[in-house]
Parts: sequence; C-alpha cells; structure tokens
Amino acid sequence: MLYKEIARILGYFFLLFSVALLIPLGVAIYYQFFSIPEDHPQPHVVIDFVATLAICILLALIFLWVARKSKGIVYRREGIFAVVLIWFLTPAISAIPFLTSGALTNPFQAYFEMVSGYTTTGATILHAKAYDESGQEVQIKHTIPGLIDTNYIYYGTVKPVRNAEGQIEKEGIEALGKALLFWRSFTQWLGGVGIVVLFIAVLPAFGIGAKLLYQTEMAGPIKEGSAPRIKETAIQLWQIYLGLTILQIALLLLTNMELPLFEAVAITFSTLSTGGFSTQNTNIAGYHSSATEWVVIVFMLMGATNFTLYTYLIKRKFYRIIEPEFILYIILIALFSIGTVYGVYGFQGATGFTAIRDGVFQIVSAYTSTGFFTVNYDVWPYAIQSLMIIAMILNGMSGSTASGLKTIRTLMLFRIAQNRVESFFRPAHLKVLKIGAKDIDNTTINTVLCFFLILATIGTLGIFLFICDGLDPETAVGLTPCFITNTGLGFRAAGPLYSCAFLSDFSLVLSSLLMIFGRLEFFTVLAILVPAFWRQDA
Amino acid sequence: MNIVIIGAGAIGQYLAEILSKEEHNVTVVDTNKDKLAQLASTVDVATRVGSGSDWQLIDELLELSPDVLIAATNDDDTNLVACSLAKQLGFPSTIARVHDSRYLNRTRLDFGRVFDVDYFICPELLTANEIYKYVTSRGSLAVEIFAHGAVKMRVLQVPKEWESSKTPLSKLHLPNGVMVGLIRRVTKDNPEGQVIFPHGSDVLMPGDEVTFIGEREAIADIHKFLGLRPTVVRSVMLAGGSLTAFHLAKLLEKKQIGVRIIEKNYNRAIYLADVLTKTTIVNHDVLDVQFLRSEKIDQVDLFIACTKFDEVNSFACMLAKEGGCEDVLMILTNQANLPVLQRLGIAHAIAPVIAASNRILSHLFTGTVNTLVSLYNNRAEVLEINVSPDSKVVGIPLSDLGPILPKDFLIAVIQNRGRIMVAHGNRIISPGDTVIVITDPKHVPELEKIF
Repeated sequence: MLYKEIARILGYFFLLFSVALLIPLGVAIYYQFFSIPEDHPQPHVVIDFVATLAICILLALIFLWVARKSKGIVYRREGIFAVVLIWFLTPAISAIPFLTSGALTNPFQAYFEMVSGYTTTGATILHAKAYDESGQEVQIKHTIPGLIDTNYIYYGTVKPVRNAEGQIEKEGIEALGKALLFWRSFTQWLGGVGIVVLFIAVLPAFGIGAKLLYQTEMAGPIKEGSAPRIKETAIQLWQIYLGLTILQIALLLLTNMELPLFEAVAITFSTLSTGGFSTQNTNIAGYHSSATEWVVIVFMLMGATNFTLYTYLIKRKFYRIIEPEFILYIILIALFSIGTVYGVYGFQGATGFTAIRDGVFQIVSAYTSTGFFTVNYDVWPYAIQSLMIIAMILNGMSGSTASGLKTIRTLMLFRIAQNRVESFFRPAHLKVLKIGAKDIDNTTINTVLCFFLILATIGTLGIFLFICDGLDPETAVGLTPCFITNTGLGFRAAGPLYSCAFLSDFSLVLSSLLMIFGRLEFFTVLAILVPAFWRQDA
Repeated sequence: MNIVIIGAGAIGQYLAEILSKEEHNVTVVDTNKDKLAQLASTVDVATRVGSGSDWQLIDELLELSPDVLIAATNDDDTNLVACSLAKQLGFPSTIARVHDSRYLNRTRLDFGRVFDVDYFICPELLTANEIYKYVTSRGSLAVEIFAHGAVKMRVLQVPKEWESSKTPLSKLHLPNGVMVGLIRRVTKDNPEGQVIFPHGSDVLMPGDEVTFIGEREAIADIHKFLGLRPTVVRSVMLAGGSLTAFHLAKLLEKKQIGVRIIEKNYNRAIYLADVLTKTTIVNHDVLDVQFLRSEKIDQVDLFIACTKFDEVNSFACMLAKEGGCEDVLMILTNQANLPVLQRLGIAHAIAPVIAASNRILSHLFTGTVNTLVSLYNNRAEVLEINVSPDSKVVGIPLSDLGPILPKDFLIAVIQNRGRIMVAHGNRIISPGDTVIVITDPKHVPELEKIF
C-alpha cells in the first residue's frame, strides 16, 4: 500500500473540502451578523464553522506533508482505499460544528447525521427534547405493539429555542441554527453526485488515478463516462447537476411565492441529491403547498434519472434517451404510483387530488431513495407499506444520485433469470444476453448476481443485528433497507412521526456502516475487509 | 484535441497514453474487448469495441467532434478503409499506419488521395532508417534524417590538410543534391565557436564543423568530398527476417554493405532470398552461439537483432557479444526495459513504437513552423515549414528572396508533393510545399509571418 499516495489524495481532497466549508460559514456569518435578530432566534454557529475549517485545513496540511515525497502514482488498491477513507472521514469532520456548538452531544449521533447526509439517506436523529411541567427533561416513551410489545425509551436530541419568558419558541429540527440546517442539506447536495467526483472535476489532473477514483465512487454497473476523459465527464456531471439545482430553486420560488429563498435552496439540495433532509419538523408537509410538492416530485424523478441522458438532451440526440433502462424506470414508476394511489384512495378521507398527490409523492420519494414525506404513511395499508419497501430496494437509474439495486440491475437480473429458465428446457440454446444494444458478458452477470447476493446478505444481517439490539422486527425490517438503499424512510419506531433518535450507539454505528456500504455499492468497502487487500508478502 | 485511435496495439496504446497525459480527449477503437479493458484500466481514455472498417461506428464517433483519426491497427487494409471512411464521413484529418512502404511512394498514384489519408506512417521503414542512420553515421559528428529518410543532414569536421580552403562556397562544386547548411568555426579568440549561416562568399576552413544537408544518396558520400576516410561498415548481420530487416537490408544493399539475414522460418527465408538478391539469407535459428561462431560473428562489424520479440532480440545480442561482435543493436518494443538491457551491455536499442509515435505526434501538432533539430545549444535550428497559399515567398525564385528573409537563414530543401529538391537559386516555392530550413531560433516568430 502506497500510503504517501493516499495521503496526497486525501490532502488535496481536504484542501478542496475546506473551500466547500466556506459556504456554510458564509451562511452562518450572514445569520449572525447581517440578518434581523428576530429572524434567527436559534444559536449562532460562526465560531464552530471557523473551528471546523481550521481543523480541516490542518488535516489537509498534515496529509500533504506526509505526501511531500509522493510520486503521483495511484493503483487500484490505493484508489479504493482513498475513496473509502474519504467517505468515512468526511462525515466525521462535517460533524464537528454540531458537537462544538452543543446542538448535539453524542458524537455517534452527530456522525450518523452526517453519514446520512453524505450518503443522501436523509434519516435523522434530530428529535425535540421532551419536558414535563416543571421544565425538567423527561424521557420520550412509546410502545410498538406486537405479540411482545417493544418499548422505546430515550431522550430527545435537540434543545428547544425559548423566548425571554422561557416559552418554547422553536423545537425539533427547526430549533437548530440556520447555518447548521443549511449544512445538513448541503452535505446531501455534495454527496448526491459524489464528493470524489466533485474533487476530480475541480482538482488538476490525477491522470488514471482520477479514473480509478471515479469508478470506485460512481454508482451503477456500467461505469462509462459521457466524455472520453474522466475529468471532463466529472465536469459535465457537475454542470448538469448545478443547472438542475438552479432550475429547481427557480421553479420552487416561482410556484410558491411565500417560500423563502433559504427554504427553496434547502429543499433543492435534498431533492436533486435524492437525499431527504428537511428544515421542517413535518418535512415537506410543513410548507403546505401542493405546488411545492409537485415540483419536488418532478425533481426527485429527475435526480434519479441517469445523468448521461441529460448530456444526450444537451447534444440534441433525443432518440438516445429511448433506452431500456429509462423505459423500465418510467414503467415501474407509473405502476408503483398507480398501485399506491389505488391503495390509499379514500384512506382516512383523502380523496381526489390530495390522495393522488400524497400517494405519488410518497412512492416517488421511496422509489428515488429520497425519503421526503408529506403524510404519516406508517398508518397506510400494509400492502402499500410493503410496496414502498420494494420500491426502496429497486430504486432509480444507474448514473444518477439514487442508490439501491437500480433499474439497470433489476433489468439484468430479470434477463439472467429468464435466460436460466429458458435454458432449463433447452440447454443447447445459445443466447447472448443483451440490454438494448449492449452485450452482457459473463463477468457482468457474475458481478450483478454477486451484488444482489451481497445486498440480500447484508440486508438480512442488518435486520438481525437491529433486532438483537432490541428493535422490534417491523421497525428493523423497515429500517435496514432504508439505510442500505440510502432512502431514509423509516417505519414504526422510526416512522414519520418519530426519528432515529432512539437508536443505541451500537445501532448508530451499524446504521452508519450500512449507509456507507450502500452508497459505495458494497464491493469497495468489502474489498478493504478482505485480508488479501492488506497483504504485502503474497 | 479530440482524437480517435483505431487499434489498441503497441503504437495505439503508446499514443493513447501520451495524448491522454497531455489532456487530449482520446477514444480508442479495437475489436478486442479485453485489450480495451486493459488499456482503459491504466490510461484515461474512452474505448469502443468495434472494427475500424465499420462505417457506422466511425459515423457515431463523429459525435465527439474529432479532429483526427489515427488508424494504427496491424492491418494495412483496415487502416486504409478506416481513413477513407472517416474522411468521407467528415473527419477533418486522417493518419494511417502501413506496413507496405510502397504507399509512401507516389510514382504512379497519389495514395494519400486514393485512400483519403493525410499522412502515411510506416514504422518498419522509420526504424530501418533510424538503424541505417546509425550504421552510416559512424565517423560523423551528428546525423539526422528528415522526410521519411529522403533528406539527410550530416555534420563532419573539415580535415587539416584540406586544399580547397580558399575557394568560396559558390565555386566549390559540391556534389549535386547537397548543400552546406551551417558552419561552426572555433578560433583562438573565440573558443565557444562561431556559428555561420553560410552564403556564397563564405569558405570552409580546416577544423570547421560543417553541416551538410541534402538528398540521402548524395550526402552518404559527402565525406569523400572533404577527403575523409570513412569508418566503413563492411558487413552487417541481421537477426530475424522481419519487415524492418527487409527495409534495412534494401538500404544497406544500396550502400554496398554486405548483409546477412538469419531467419528461422523457411518460407520467410525463401521469400527474402527471392526479393533481396544481394543479401545472404541463412535459414537457421539465431539463438545458437555455435552457429554464430561458425558464421564468423567476430568478423561482423555490426550485429542487429530485428525480430519482433524483445526477448529474442536481447538474447541474440548477448550471444553475438559472446561470439565476439563488439557492436550490437536491437529493436525494442517495450521501452521500459531499456535500463535493464543497458546493464546487460546492449547500449543501443531502437524503439519502432516511439519512432512512429513521435512522428505522428509531431505531425499532429504541426504549426506552420516546426522544429526538427536544434544544434549547438540552440544557436541554430533545423525547421520544417509548411508554406501557406498566401505566403509572400510563393512564386519568387529563391535567389531573389534575399530582401524578404532574415540574414541568418537558409532554405535547404524543398519538398514538393513528395519530391525532394535541394534549394538552388532558381527554384520556386509553391503553396503547400514543405521547406526544410536552417536558421537562428530568434527568427521563428518572424518566419511564421513570412510563410
């Protein structure tokens, strides 16, 4: 292992990352010094971002000092290790302002929150603290009934903002400083296309190293770029991403005049990245605007669409968009939406457009791995809840900001299975597997099957470990795919009315691991766990 | 620049690597998927599986708005078809690698026009020329070849007892097709040496270093003009009857040098014996030191290993050394192994891949003015200039160009559609010609305007 080379990559990465930190710092400075104090009663965090920035720069300099004699060669191993390190270290650094400002006290919770941000999961541990009449903090208790009832007893995580009379003015997520809320959404935006991809687009040539890093982070079984050189591919990706971001902010502001710019930006950051963090306690429902919800639905779908398709659009190659993955994506979305709307129509009195909007919003949110919610889906019919979990696992297109199995793999798995079944009665039938015009060779088949196997295994293991840690089975079954597919829609104890604040430290670490595993599509992180990866002698 | 390379062979890969390092957008096309995967894992290029003769593929590649297509497969036909298709479909420029050097001649047909190839490159011929340069330069201070070996530059020292040192150049009766390009004179008060761009009135003094430039054949005997005795190479042994060996043998035959080719394959040996009448073809395995001894390897002036395989070449060279041949030379495909070979005592290795790639690169990045060689710590440069149609010098006899051109400047050779002419006073430059000139580097920007 060429540690100096890895240090060089990390050094440059954190140097760039400190530039990214200037943006939330700017927001913090604005709210602390320039905005009207009444607009921002929450605690200020400028000093905390300055400290984070200092730590980040220091870390970058240490890495660069270690790497001062590096030669600039990156092999596959180094590339993989560097990407994994970046994905584990970045959330840790990003969690610093939450801890130093006192917004969160448990470092595991802060780390979980940031992992949930970068992996665009969107599950949160932010939960308003509960108080009794005397003002003493009390535990939050609720029970998930079953054959054996499961009791959840835990403390809330966020202190409320009180006014001069001691009355609670803001609580829960909304009690956090605006800059911290911005930072949460911003991490999702950064993690959406990929923090390493951003790094490749901005930093000077890393040569083939850049390509290795890109392929390690980029999601999906087909890793071809849209431009011959990887740097250009990365730049194109970010240009499209940035373009869509501006478009969504503009549309949100146009369709909902009452929406402040800050909220529009925060929603957009979490939508396009298919993230799911919100600045409201009631998530997207908090804006009470059907127009906003429809814009969010459209952009969730756009975020989960393969970004290469946009390059075709820009090049005016419209016929290229008609490819099997995209068609299947549209068909599945349509079927799932119809199913969901059918299932919830008339449920709890919701009819007409409201039912359609709620149903479509919730299923799209699950299918694109976003994790926004507008209703308490936890009380929906079981069939629809199951449908949501299936949607979470199937997920959006490859080459997008979505995670999970991905449409292309679904298609491949179907074709592989079909082929196997056909050859069962006609073994001599020679057939070339094709998706569109592309041949699927044996290596790809193996990789896809193996991916599915790992997804299933880790999923099962995750459920088991959560249950061992005291979660009830229904919560565990809902929570594991929510983390692995980076969706963020929990059920039961982690349902829309609650949060992940009840998770024990063990479960927090497990969840963080599951999220990073899912974001890097298993192979990358698993490779590091293989002993042969580290052996120097053989 | 957006570049499409057909063929991921040694040359294709080497070019792809260099070009992608220089931040050009490279797309490599090959029929072998594994080869492409291997290339893509080490070099930042896009790859496409397919054949160079597949017009639809080439048409699709147009979407990248390519600037040039380089057909570098192992197969001449594919390369020519690819170039032809590409040009017809709208690629601005094409380069074809060919084995058959006859495409480079334009005796009956202009193959560049026939196949829409803007530039032919024949690595075997280039390599043969490089080796030939080495063979014939023993005794010269420096040798360079230009224009695919048709033009040669040679630096010689004028001997002490040279009698014509009073005659000005204009009356010196230099052999046809040769001209004096540059004189470097070291005197007592000027130990650094004075670089003279010669004109008709200059003289050649004993001790001067003189750069002759001109047609290859005429230049080869220029030492006789100075009364120098050549360090003759009388006999050369070639190991392996490859295409390079064939081209080299042809060149050496013309120079009256005794050539032996050791070729293992009987059919190939028969073929060579048929086409190379003056060369001795021996059908035997070269990796046999007893055989080499029986062939009197110690009497051979130069042993050149030119099989396709580096390992055979290097081993053959070591055997030849063992047999008593002092001077050995080999063709090397994998440049990374050169230090190891030098440690083994094989000092000279010529890399066809690099020779060909450099030629292609210099063609790709040709401006109007192109540096070929720089001499005497950059005090003089040999340049290749492409004459544009609206140049000031077009249509005027060279002898009347004096006022337009700088003083430290000399037009040596004019290449007109493949014909080579030494620049005498009455020659005229036409648009599209390439001229080889010698000048002071400070004039380069000025020259871009003139031509």
